[in-house]
Amino acid sequence: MRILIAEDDEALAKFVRQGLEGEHYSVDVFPDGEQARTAATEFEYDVVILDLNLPKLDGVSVLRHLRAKKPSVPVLVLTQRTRVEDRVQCLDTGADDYLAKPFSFSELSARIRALVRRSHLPSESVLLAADLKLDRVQRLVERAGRRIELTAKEFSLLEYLMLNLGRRVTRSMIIERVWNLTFDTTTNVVDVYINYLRRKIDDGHATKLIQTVRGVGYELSAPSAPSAPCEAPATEVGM
Amino acid sequence: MRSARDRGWDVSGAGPQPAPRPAGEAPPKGRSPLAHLLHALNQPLTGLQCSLELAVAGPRPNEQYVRTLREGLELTGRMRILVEAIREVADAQPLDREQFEAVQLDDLLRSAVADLFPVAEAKGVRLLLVSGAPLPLRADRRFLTTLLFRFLDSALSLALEGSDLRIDAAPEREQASLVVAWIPGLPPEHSPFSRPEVGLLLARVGWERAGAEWIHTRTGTLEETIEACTVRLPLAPALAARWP
Repeated sequence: MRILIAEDDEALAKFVRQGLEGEHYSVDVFPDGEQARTAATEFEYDVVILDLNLPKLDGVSVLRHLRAKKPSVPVLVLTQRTRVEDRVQCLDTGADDYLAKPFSFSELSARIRALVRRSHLPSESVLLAADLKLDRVQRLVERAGRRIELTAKEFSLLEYLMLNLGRRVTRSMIIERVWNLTFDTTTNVVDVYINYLRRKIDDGHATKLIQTVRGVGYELSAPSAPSAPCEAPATEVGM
Repeated sequence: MRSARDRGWDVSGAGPQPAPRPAGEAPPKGRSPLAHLLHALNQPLTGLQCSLELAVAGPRPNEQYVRTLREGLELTGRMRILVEAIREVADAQPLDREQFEAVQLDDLLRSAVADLFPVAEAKGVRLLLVSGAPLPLRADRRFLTTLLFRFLDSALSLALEGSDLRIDAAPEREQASLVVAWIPGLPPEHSPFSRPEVGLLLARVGWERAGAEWIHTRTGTLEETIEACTVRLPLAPALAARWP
């Protein structure tokens, strides 16, 4: 996996590079927009991390150029701005994800993993994870052939976890994608909804699909063998 | 669990009446949200600086360095929340009126309450929404949806476990009046600069940005305090004319 970082803050670029190399990515850092644009056009990258405030050529211009030349390369934008409008503008311009400074490295790392996976996924209408099936068109969920009733929010949450199958997602990522909010909530809304989902998805099954990743967030993982229902199956009740 | 009205809460929208003995520290008054947040930033920043200075001052046992790093990470986390909030306040610009559309505040409220209902249930807080009449507004729907969620999310975080959080929404002449009242729990860690308190401050900034009047009061006795935030914002002009 090769990652391009366009970041003019030398210290920040160095820390991010060290962290990503520690996760076995190959990393190229460019301190200005012109160099970043040239490299991103000439070479193949799996992910581009783009600061918006770059010297010589601003990040938005680099992003527009990149989208015209390489529409499928995943781009994560780093910015100083936190307003909803800025985020919308950024995504409209073609960014795949958006992270406001200051950020934590674990947050950045989780987002890169999610982006890499998303770029390799076909846009399937039916998502599968072991014996769990989610039909995005029919809005149906089944586990081991049994229909599970979910609320709209629970459905969106499960869909997001399944789109990131085998990858950890942070609470911030969930809040942004499922609740469409651009700030961290003060309540434990994500944890509460995960618990509801767990009761409906995992209770009564020997194999638990939803895992807690301590200090980070959650991961939906699917072992290769389908899970056998427990002796006393759970009652599936809508909220 | 007693209801807010049983407790004698005044949630009429006219604002709670002052109690003879105000309890606890009052919400920040007379100081701008930005000044409040910058003041708040000084605390963890000073803590971090002192902690690092002590660590480099001389040879220390290894475990002390580990402790310094852990403390530093915690202080940095606190500063990150405050910097995000400062940036949000500093970046706030007037809303683009071209994005405004007809929205029903009462519908958005019901949706936000439904979203937070499981959280309240898990905390043992009863969410009471009293909203009878329609409350038509001209507003940026997305902005208002986010704002309502933040407002209620912060209030819910601050509410005492096992108590009621009452939300009253009603037309009041040509305005929509929204009163959120709760019994505060124990002061959160790092109060008055805790995450939910900062969230409430940002909600205030958001409401004021949306052209609303914001009143935050804390009343009651030493034994039982009631905190209430009242928001008043203009109803959609054509529809407001229907109200007497």
